Amino acid sequence: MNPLAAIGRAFLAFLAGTGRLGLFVAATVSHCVRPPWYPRLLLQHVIEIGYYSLPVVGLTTLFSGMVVALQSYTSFARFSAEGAVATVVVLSITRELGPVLAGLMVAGRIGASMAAEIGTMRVTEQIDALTTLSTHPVKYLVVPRVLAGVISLPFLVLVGDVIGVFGGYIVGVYKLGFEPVVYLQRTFDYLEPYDVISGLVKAAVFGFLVAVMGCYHGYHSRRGARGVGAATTNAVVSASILILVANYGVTELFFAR
Amino acid sequence: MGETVPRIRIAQVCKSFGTNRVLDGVDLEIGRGESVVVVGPSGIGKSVLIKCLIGLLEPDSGTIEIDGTRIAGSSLRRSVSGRFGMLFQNGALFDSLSVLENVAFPLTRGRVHSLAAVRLEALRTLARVGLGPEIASLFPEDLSGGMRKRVALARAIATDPDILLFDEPTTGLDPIMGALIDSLIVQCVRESGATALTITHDMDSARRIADRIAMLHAGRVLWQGPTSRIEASGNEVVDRFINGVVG
Repeated sequence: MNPLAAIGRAFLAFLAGTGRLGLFVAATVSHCVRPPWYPRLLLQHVIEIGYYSLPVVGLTTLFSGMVVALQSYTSFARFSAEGAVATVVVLSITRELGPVLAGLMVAGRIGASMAAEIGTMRVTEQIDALTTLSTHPVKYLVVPRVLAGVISLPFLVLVGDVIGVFGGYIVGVYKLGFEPVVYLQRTFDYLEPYDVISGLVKAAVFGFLVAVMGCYHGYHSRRGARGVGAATTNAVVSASILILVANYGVTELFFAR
Repeated sequence: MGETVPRIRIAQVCKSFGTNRVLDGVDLEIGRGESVVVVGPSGIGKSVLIKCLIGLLEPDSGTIEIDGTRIAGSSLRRSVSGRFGMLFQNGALFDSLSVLENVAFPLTRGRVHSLAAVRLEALRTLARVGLGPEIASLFPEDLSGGMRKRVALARAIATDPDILLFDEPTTGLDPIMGALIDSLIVQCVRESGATALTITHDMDSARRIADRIAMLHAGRVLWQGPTSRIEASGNEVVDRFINGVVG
């Protein structure tokens, strides 16, 4: 086999995939602004993503806040800067850990389930049936999920931020011996609205990416159980990678001077 | 003039997948209120033909007309899609919706299912296929294969479409249930006066449903004629197929 041909084939497949994804995103965005809309489905998916992901996001941010407090305390003690623990916890949670960890957790939980559900609908001809019933599958299946992702993730991250800061507080006060009032004061001393808002914008971007990748891979799932399995894996992997890439992009946009 | 225009006209339709030419110039006309069954062995392109007709696939060449208006590759495709009702091979019921919501779907296009009028209409449609209101709140996974097919038939006829398409309606059913589904199809088509196109490889089913049978072979319609004449088609390939002769 000619290795150059193999590279060319892989490159062409990559370009075709990128084009297909671009068209899918364009169709999704265009259907978002054109009626009919399905508010009942939107609410259903907001509950599914926002409400039912709370335990997993809450636990993740709680322990992340606790670990950051502990790690920063032991590190900062080397140059007598233990007092910065509360600030480090709140900034790292609101700016980075809250949105990124929530995004990755939701990618695993929701991205996978979207890909599996839509993939199964593709395999069992339910998507074809939608078309024959004069209902555009992108409008009915993809738009409510993507909008729900964009709406839910910021709320989820906001709650996660509070829980993460609380995790840092527990370790700071009960393990490291900080005064509760002092810890809380230092938490808010250097916190700017910008820090929280940047995290929420990231969350909305991540929500979009998770939902789009879940729907895209499910929608283009190949036939059979293997096809649906591959779609699920690809949805989680691609959403996770895109979250990390987009995280850098949004950070650069907000904080690069 | 209006009398002579067929409801569906498929002319020289070709469709290939890579180098595999599945449809190679299919010609078929179906009159108003007529029930035509396209038969042929599995994998011959029957499903591709029906998907081209309904717009799930776009033919490479050829024309498809509904009431004399060309729809293949045209922006009119969407405007006629509401005139089709289709029964899929495995039902393709929405498994996240109840039986009632499935049947009400074409009436509401997936929006509000709780309106009393919609509910009544859906229950009436279920009754047309011999199903009572007690199954309305069940989900597709709770139903047997035959019941699923009947619910799918109810969904297909809910809006009384002009054109009904049936994809392998008896596949996966026992002979008695198959005959029951066939009789329901015949009854629904007669009651609504719709034009019906069925694809199947089940000759018993074809004989029960069809006014006219067309045999698809090597990407073309090899033979077509009234159901009563298929035994005397004089075509060797047709004879082999209807008698189940291998080779």
